[in-house]
Amino acid sequence: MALLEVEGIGVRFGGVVALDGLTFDIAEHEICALIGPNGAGKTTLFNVVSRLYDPDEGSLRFAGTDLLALPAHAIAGMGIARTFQNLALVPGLTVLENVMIGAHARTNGGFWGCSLGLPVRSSERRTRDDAMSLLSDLGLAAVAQRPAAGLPYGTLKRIELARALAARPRLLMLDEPASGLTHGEVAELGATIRRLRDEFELTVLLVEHHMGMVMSISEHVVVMEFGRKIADGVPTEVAEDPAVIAAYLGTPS
Amino acid sequence: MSTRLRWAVFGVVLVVLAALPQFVADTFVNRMSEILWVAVAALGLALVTGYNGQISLGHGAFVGFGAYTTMVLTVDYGVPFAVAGLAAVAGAFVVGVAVGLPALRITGVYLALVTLGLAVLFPQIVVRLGEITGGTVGRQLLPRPGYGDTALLEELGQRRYLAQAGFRAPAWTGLADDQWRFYVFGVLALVAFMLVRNLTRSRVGRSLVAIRDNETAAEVAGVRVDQAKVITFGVSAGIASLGGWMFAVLNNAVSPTSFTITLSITLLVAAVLGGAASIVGPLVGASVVVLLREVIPAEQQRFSQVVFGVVLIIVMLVAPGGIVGLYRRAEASLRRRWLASRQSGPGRTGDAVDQDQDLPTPLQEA
Repeated sequence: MALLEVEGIGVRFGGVVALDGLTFDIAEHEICALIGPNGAGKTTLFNVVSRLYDPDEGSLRFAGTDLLALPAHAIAGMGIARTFQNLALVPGLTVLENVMIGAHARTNGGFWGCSLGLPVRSSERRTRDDAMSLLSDLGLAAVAQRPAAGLPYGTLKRIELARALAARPRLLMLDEPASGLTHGEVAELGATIRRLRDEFELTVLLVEHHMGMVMSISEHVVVMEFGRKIADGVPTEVAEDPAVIAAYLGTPS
Repeated sequence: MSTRLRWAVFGVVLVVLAALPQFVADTFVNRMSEILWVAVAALGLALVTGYNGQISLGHGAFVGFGAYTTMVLTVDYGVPFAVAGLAAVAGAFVVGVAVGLPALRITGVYLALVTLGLAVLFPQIVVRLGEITGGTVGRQLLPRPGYGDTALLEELGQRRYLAQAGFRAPAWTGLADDQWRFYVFGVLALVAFMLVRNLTRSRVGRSLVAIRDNETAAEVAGVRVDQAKVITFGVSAGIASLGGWMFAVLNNAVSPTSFTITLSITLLVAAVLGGAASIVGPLVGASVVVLLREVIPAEQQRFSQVVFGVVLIIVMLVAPGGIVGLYRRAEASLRRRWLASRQSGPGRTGDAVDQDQDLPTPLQEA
């Protein structure tokens, strides 16, 4: 059964059609890449799944649940975590605390409980230990106590990844994880994504321009152009699709 | 400082402060009590503005609400001071939530302007409700001639009576009123600061900072942004109102001139000066603000706002993190130097410098 079912999703901003009847499924445990030229609507789809945007039409189901019936803050609790293309870290917190934020939906304690302190202390320690082990896993232990600002771009991206993992998601959405990384870092990132998928039993939805990485790690590729899907299949199949080649290279006139 | 040393210093300071009222004049004790109420009110402001990023220029109104609630309940309804305090905090929480709701739609400068309106409006409302509040002259918390005569008042059809004459030290303590007041304030301030400290170090505290710095990130992580903002505003107003209770108890009188925009600005100065996103910040800031006013000669008091303004500008330019931020920076640089000297010394290996839990972090309190 498909984990995420995107069906006929349409998003318009004024007169601009960002998504136009987009339909595709993601199977559980697969790495699915969403590719297409800039402005194709990939990030818009991420924002729809995160419930930051309300689609004008279509339906969105996650493990059988209608996501469009839920508010944005409930999405993390459903088991969906994401990173952002332009980073969305909290500079006023340490790296460790940023990762702990990721576990917000999995933990309890309101204003009173947290003010009184005692009842939540053990869960706080668990969250901290868990976040610390994620940081170690991603080679970030050394920066754990540093503010989450002014660190190298690649490091900040990995911190965001750690924060998303702290939510223990079923679906991990990565928005251009390889952008701004060096060649070596990209290769390493590809291996990391595959390893995390196996280790945490994740389903991964990936927006990426780095074709080398997309083709090497993904099992499923969805190609978009102007808010529509133009191809959908395994990487080798999609790479030879004339519509895809036309979208990327242009048609000879 | 290591955590243990920090607690030791904290303990020593506490003991010194507890002993101090036995050795100093009552005016000095009252000055310390004043610092405490300003600190508590500034703590409320620091929570909503420093940690949560909702700028309020109107927290003086919540202090006034607490002070007037205390006055009316104790004087007109004979409610004990403790109960009046609880009512003042709970009432201000409700008012704070009511103000916080529209604040969801506006942020930044616009919110600052709306709360500024609150600060301007409060004295006006007090004057309009002269029947209860005593209008422009205000009212005393002490008995007035004839007020103690309950039978006479009932005969006159008035429900006004006086259960107690101001906030007096119970006989068993053997303390003077000012000393008793200071101890009560100290305990209240300690409780308020500890609760807020716990809060800021918890998942809720992290979510408040996340909302301040990046609302989308907070929401995607599962934070109920709107709910958190409204409750924070309410809690913050409740804490400020506790400061108002302390004001009424300390001064035994309330009048609209005490709760003008000047008070709101003073609280903001105290919070920012100390370090708005820190726990001891409001206490440090309140001490500076109260003592600064002390050193300005009485006939020059009208210039105290000018002095605050200048001090605020200097602090913002030199140390945006306030006095506490300055201290943390100094501590961090000393630590780095110390670590460096230790590392270069004989017999040390590089791996000895492990991840120190005490590196200054944005949310770690000094």
